[in-house]
Amino acid sequence: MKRRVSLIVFLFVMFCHGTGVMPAPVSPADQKEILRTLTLAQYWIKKGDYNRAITFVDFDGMAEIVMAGYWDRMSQKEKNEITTFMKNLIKEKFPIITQRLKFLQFGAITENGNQAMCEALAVFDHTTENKDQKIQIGLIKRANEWKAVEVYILKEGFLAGLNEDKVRPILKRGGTIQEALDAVRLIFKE
Amino acid sequence: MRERIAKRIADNLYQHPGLIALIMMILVGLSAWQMSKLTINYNQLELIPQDLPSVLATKRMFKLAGGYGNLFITLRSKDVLQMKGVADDLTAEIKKLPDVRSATCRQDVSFLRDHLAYYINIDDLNEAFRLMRKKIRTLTREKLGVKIGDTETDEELKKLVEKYRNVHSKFVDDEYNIDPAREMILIVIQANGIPNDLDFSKKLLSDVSSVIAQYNERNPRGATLKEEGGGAPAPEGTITYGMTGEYKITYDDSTHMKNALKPTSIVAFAGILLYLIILFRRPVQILLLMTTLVMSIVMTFGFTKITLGELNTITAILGGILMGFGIDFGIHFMYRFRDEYSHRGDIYESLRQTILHTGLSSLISVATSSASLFVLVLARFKGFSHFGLIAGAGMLIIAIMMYTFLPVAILLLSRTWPRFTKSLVVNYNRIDDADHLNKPFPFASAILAASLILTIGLAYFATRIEFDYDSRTSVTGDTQALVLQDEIEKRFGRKGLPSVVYTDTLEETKNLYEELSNKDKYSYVQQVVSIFSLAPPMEQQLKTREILDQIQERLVEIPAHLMTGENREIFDAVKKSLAAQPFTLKDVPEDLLKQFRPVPESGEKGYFTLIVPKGSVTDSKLTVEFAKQVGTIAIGGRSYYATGHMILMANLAMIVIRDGKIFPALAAGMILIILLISYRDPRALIFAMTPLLGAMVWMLGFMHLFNWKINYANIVVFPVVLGYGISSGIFIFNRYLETRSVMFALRHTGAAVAGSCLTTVIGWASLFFSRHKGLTSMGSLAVFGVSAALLVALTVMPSLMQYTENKKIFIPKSKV
Repeated sequence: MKRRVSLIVFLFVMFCHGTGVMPAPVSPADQKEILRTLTLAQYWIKKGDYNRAITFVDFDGMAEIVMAGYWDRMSQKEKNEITTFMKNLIKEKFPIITQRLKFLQFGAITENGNQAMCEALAVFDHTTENKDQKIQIGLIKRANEWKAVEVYILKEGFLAGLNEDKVRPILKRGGTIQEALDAVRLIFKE
Repeated sequence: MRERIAKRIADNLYQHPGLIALIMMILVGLSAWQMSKLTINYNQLELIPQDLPSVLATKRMFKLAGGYGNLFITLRSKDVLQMKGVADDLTAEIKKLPDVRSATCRQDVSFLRDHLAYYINIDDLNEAFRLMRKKIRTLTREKLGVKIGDTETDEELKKLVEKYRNVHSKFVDDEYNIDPAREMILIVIQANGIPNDLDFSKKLLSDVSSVIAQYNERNPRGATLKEEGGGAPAPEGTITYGMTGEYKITYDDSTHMKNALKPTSIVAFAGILLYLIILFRRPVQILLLMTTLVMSIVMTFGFTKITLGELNTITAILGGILMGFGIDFGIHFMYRFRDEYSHRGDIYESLRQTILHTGLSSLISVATSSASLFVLVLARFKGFSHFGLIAGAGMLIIAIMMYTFLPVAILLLSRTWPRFTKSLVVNYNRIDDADHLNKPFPFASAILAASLILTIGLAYFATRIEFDYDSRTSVTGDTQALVLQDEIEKRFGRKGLPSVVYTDTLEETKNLYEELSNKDKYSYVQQVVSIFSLAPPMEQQLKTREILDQIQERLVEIPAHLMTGENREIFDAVKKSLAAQPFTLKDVPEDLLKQFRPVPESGEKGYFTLIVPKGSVTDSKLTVEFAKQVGTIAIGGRSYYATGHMILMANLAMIVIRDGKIFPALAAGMILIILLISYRDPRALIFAMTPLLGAMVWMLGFMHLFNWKINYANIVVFPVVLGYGISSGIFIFNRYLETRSVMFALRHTGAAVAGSCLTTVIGWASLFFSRHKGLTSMGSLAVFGVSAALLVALTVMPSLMQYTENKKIFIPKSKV
């Protein structure tokens, strides 16, 4: 029975994940810039230079996604605080998250204003992982520069998911910004 | 005037004892002949007024559906494959029985399974999507080393998946009627008769049992079938079976009731006899009393046959009750007659005095008691009206017999057998000595004060007494069939028995379905299952299709080769369901549609709509509220009437409650009027009614304290307690008025009053031996009520009389 439920869950997950970004043609310049960003990020990851790799990540955007719903009401100090937290977190988790990753094979790119989505295949080391994973990488354009801001696995955004599962319930019951910030910090302490 | 009447009666009895005895014997003979033809109708449906729309609709439903109710055979085993095989074999054999209209243990559910997505509520679909997205996020995070404890999602998802395993009472993942735990298979039998026809039910149950027994002897699957006994789990290779459903439950209840009544009548008769032996210690006098009593009961049942033609489930127990009730007149007569004869030594004068004094008390007593019972004849609930007529007439017959046949029998015996006359003399020296001392009733003020406080306290609780709508409190205790029925409801998720509405055309059926789909208006409706729920509205289907298209688009992301075994099966089933296109009624297989259509023999072409309530019929308030909502459904100027067990039980409850409120009040009014006419003094009325009022308040107050409730069975006890309360008061009070001595009245009448109450208590207490919940609750309540009446009559009432006597206040002027 448990197996059945898990499988049904799995199947329905496949069916119902988010609608994603409305696809639009990408200008050749943007396409070139996006691929450059992602290729360089991958290069430094493979080299193990995570400090350089994270220069292609938009931490403001990440913090905004995680704190969506509260972001507009947050003070600059609070915004800085959560942005710094995200930066430190990524620095710490990047080696762990990417350790089994062999390489990323980039595919189609779609664009929606200053946001873009790049289809990718995460090819793993098959001695530890038996199948590769289709993912999508969300990017954001700031000051004419594209940076990665979100990863979608099975079309579910990792940070958007944290917001939906941890921050939104606090917002729904009228919790404070501080409670929401604490909840986000707590996730990564565990 | 009273003296003249008493003298005239005494003269007639004295002068023509033989003739009177002969007339009585002839009447008894004729009654016995009529009584021999008397039958008991166990059909509870017939207790409700037959002109009620729901009753008429139910009767029509018998014709349309070719029967009513189900018989369930449950099979239980660890070996699912073997159990399925046996279910198939048995179903095939049972189908061959002439009384069986259909028997099923499986149904082709492929259509439902393939179109499952269209039966899912869109809100539930969205909720499932939300939960499943949450689940995938959790899994992804875990894979990335971020663990957030989340057990709720799995639980909520599980509930949702379970909800759609069952579509319109059919499990879509297995064509057999098997429970989710895969431990029990249900064979559903529909028969060509109704469960309330006990002869039919008996034959059906016997035939099905024979089929199982024969199959057990030569079954090809190597299984041993064993009837469920509630003991240890069956060993390997054994399939346990049980029977339940309306046919089994109704038959068991009536059989149990019949069996239960046999020992109770014997216990009642033996108990009364034993008490009379202790009270009178003269075998011939006891024999005379009992003979007169039995003759009276025979005449009462003869009267019943002539007037009503039959007994019902409630009046069937009247024999024992009337015995306990009616013997009182004999006890009072005999007690006073012996008292008079022992002091006077003159048979005629003793007879005259007895008729003059005790006769008058008996007359007032029987007038009030029978009037309070006759009032019930106006009740709509036949349980009340028949009870009122038979019991009222029975009281009159017994009273008449005790003042005609009993005295003439004494006269005839005394003339032919001098030793009998001697046996009528009792030594009254001790009582006479006490009379000479003329002491007052002790502790009158203290008893009055204490009883007043107690009564006020109990009156508070008496107002909080509740009615128990649960019909099971009025039937046999937890029989195996009832326990099994509960288990089926739990295992198969059937909360309550559905009610059914019949409509003549497809258009009407659609309107009805749309009307009942209004969840705010029909808040007690769990689900509406109609021919239209098999093909949801096209607009809804197109919305579902839009979502399914999006889902299907993403489904391709899951590589099919990753699925193996059972998972592959589900994967394929989901894919098939997602690929299914919107459909109309024409696409639905006939096998699924036919359950909504009348049987061909009825000649009707309409449709059934099933309304599933939000709870079981055992849920008190829900039953009535559900019936109020769906009992009569008005659409476009036409009324449609729901039928079914729950509606009928609710109607029964509403009528019983309504009658139960009106008729005790009417009876009390009748009693007041008769007492007022008899005494022509309101003060006397207060005295005479003290035991009645006290008994009612004490009984209701203690009922609430002991958490007893009024139910369909024990509600008929109220008029009996009413009659008893008044009767106890009248005999003591009248004797007090004769002598103006409380203690004299108690010494000379108290024993007779106690005797009559105790014989009644014995009669009712015999119901404790019935092991029938309804009868036991009747017995408990009556024993409580009559005992309370006796206690008040022997303590509170004398205290009140003594208190008013001492204070020279409120003394009634009336003279009997």
